[in-house]
Amino acid sequence: MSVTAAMPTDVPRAPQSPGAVALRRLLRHGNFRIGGTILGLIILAAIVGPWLWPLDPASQDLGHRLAVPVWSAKGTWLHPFGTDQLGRDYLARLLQGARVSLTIGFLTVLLSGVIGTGLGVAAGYFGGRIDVAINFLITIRLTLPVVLVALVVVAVYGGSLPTLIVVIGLLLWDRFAVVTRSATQQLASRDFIISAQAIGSSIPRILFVELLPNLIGPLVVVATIELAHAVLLEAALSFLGLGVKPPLSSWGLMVAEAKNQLLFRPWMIAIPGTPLVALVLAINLVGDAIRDAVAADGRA
Amino acid sequence: MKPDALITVEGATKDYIVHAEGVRATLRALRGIDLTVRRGEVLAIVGESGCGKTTLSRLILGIEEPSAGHVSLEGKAATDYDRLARAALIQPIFQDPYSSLNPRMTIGQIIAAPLVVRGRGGRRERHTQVMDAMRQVGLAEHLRNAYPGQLSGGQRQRVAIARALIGEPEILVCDEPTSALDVSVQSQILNLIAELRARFSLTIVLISHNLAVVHHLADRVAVMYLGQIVESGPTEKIFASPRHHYTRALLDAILVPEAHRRLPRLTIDAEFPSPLTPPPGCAFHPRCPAADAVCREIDPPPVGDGDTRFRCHHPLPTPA
Repeated sequence: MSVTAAMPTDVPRAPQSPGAVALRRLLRHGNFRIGGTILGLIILAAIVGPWLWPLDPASQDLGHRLAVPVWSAKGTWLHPFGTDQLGRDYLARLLQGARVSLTIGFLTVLLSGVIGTGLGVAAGYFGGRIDVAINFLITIRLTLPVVLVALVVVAVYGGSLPTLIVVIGLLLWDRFAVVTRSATQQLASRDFIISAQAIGSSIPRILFVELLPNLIGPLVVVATIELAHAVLLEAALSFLGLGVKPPLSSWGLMVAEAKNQLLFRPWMIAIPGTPLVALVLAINLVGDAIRDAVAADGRA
Repeated sequence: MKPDALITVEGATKDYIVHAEGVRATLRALRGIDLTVRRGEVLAIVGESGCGKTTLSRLILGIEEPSAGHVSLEGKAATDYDRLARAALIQPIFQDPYSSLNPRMTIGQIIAAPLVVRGRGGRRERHTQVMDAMRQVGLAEHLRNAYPGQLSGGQRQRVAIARALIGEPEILVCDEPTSALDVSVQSQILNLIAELRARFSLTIVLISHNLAVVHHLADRVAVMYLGQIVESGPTEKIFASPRHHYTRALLDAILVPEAHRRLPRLTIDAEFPSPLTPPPGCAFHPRCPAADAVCREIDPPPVGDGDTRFRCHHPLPTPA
């Protein structure tokens, strides 16, 4: 029998990478459409907002303290969302808060993702003593109460934006490590990794070219969980007065500053509280959709 | 060592520490394997699941080190080779082509990987070589940009073969290369392997439990049972007149596609002993029709007549 007689006849029309397949499935997912729209709007507001609404979020106007928002009887378009106790424009502070929340969120996830993935892949691929040592590190990390440690560190070193990013980033890598470790263990026993070794691949090539692309699905899912986590943690720290320092704004800080007005001016809490809830909800919806899009892939 | 011995295995033993029901135990997967593979021949290793075939292939590939004994390729320990030198000498083909190809890489990237790893050739040169390799294994050109998920099992196994051969190795270790494939595709892949063997004068270690495949491809056969080679010799001789009762039983178990023919009557019962607690004496004695007191006490040493060797106290007679 000649080899050409065995030439395969079933021709896949447009070669689709597994990533492209997952992306198409994602775009059709209802949760992704809702969550993605909200998330997109908040990101857009954070980027272009301070440019469209150029009032200085830190400039005080004591003559116009506690102005009511535009939808109240006495509201004016001068301050659509009113002003706070120091007469600062509430809309400008809200937009700056969006920047702060998202900056802290994305940079912490980047930092914790690199740390957690590095440790998880090393533990899962090399196994043995390295695995034991890294597992020990993960266990130690899990015994640390995140909020308490963050509070102590911020109390000692002060709550600047970089400090917050580093502290939260150094605390939230555990889930990345646990997930990538077990995913790597499963992949490392697959024959394509053994094949990669057999063709003489270097360890960096095996890890970055062969392994890592197969971890993108679970990594993105964990990243969304941790992004929501980091946003809430920043808000909580700022609420406790140990996060972002005034005059810089943050949604958590705005809620904290408004808590005395809860009964008399409830909108002052609702205005920063609503986008905070919406942001976390949107991130979780997107994460859900990504999990579906990636996990539903039955073809190896 | 014979001058033409390409792979030499001497007294290779492999132990694994396992935790069975919370108890640490030593699993002896290989118990003193002696084996030579000559340049240019096809050696088949046959035996039931769990007999150590795959462990032996991993030692030969240098993926694992023997607990005792030696495995050498061209006279040098398999684990002493640096990764590129070993890759240039020996390549594996795995059983399951759904597991052996990276789902995130295109077929072209997978086949080119051995060249990229060695830093050989420019982009254009590699492209030409990949195209050549794809043609040689009978893959259509446009599949270069496809992903493994879009290919059939047979196509995937062709990709695996192309990847193994693009670096022009001397030895191919095929671990059940067809058992995960549809019957209709199996013979295509076997013919391809046979054809490529002739074209590149490859030395092949073929691991299989399919004796029809072995009969078709192999020059010599080694029959494994519970981590030992119980019989080895030229394929024709083993198939015509086996000396070990286990070999006999394996041959009797071959199903012949013939109408109204009953299922073969097995001379051994179905139970395969646990390698954690191998039987004393000859490992095969609990299932052997010819076993007696000696077999229960003493592990038979390998004895040879000419080019066949077997481990049995009461070998089957040779036809005169």
